[in-house]
Amino acid sequence: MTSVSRFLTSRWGLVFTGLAAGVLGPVLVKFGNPGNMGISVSCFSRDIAGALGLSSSSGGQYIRPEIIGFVLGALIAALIFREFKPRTGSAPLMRFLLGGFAAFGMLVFIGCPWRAYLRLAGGDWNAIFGILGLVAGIGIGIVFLRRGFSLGRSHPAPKALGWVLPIIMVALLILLLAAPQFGTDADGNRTGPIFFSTTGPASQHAPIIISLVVALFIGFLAQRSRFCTVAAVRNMLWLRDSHLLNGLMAFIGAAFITNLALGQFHPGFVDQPLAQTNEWWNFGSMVMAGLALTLAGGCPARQLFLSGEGDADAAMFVIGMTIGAGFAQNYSIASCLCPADNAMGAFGPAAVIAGLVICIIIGLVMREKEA
Amino acid sequence: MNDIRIIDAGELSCPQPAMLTHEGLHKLARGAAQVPVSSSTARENVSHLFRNSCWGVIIEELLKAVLG
Repeated sequence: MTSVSRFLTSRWGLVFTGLAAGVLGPVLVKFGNPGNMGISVSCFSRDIAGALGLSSSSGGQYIRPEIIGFVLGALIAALIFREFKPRTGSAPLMRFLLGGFAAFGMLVFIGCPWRAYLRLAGGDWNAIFGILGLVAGIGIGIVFLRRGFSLGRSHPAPKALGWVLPIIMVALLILLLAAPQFGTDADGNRTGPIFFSTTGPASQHAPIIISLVVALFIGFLAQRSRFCTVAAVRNMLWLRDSHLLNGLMAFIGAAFITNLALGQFHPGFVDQPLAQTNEWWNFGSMVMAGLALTLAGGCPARQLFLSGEGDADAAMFVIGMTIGAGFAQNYSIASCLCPADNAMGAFGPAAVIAGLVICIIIGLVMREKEA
Repeated sequence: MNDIRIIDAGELSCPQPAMLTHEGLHKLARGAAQVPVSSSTARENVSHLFRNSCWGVIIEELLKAVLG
């Protein structure tokens, strides 16, 4: 096991993680996930929020096993390699807020950083503006980090705290499999508590077992290799350190080749699956998301992996992101899920500007207190 | 002469341990630095930074009870 561990924590381990995620993302699309959305942590959080009844969007309701698998895969790796270290106390409420605002930005663009790169690798050129925005947002985040921004120190917590999010994930898995229904209303609509879309992107999904196994595998690898799409750019811009960037490049390259091989590469700006074509707001929304993610310390997938290690602060980010995704859908912030429409939500731009202002305030006011 | 500069990165989450080390290294052209960290990710990031700047690295694992 130590040789496996040594490999995964090396540069080649990162490349291997990137290759695995890059190949398996498009493969999940082949098996039924929405176009260029083999994996998207923000969109899948939105679907989970919808399935739990937190949003009423009919096209965005499904308990995505990929999210469950990411957390549980990382949990398994952390337990095997003795890295399950429950901790908390590093400004959990701020992380909740940052998760919520990151979700707003990502859902205006329609995708977390992973999906931004998967869209690029599928030929969706709208993603270029999102990625440029993400890089710019990370750049702004670095300025705050250099000025002394800090969410403060965490402290070790009882083991039980580290199990909370993994157990929530197991509960979600049971809800996915059981899909309990309390009946139907007078019009014959299901009354929940669990809702699954019958049309729209959330109705498109790979078989549960395939999604779950793929995500467990990627979660396991990524916990060990510390794969992170935000830190890859951050460390390159700021430390001139390309270590994590190797993993990201492997991810994009593998996704591109897999899309070509599966006939899923369709270059262009229009008629892209689950994309909106407004370049300014694709850019702006991801500036906001990039800033929020940099202040929170990592991309949404990384927050899931950290939650699996017992990091209760990362788990607060995940819960904030899921609730924020529900709000984004209910308040017309998220861009439209109807494929023919490609439209932004009416309040998307307003939410991006508000989020940007609030993230800048958070960046200015949060500093570590001198002991 | 034998001063060891202490860069306290204990209980800080990503990316702060790397950030403090990076800043510390800039101020410290030579000598020795001790960087307490409390996660294996931070340990790897920090030792990686030192090695990249051609520093020797010694990793000491403290008692579990101390680290929590």
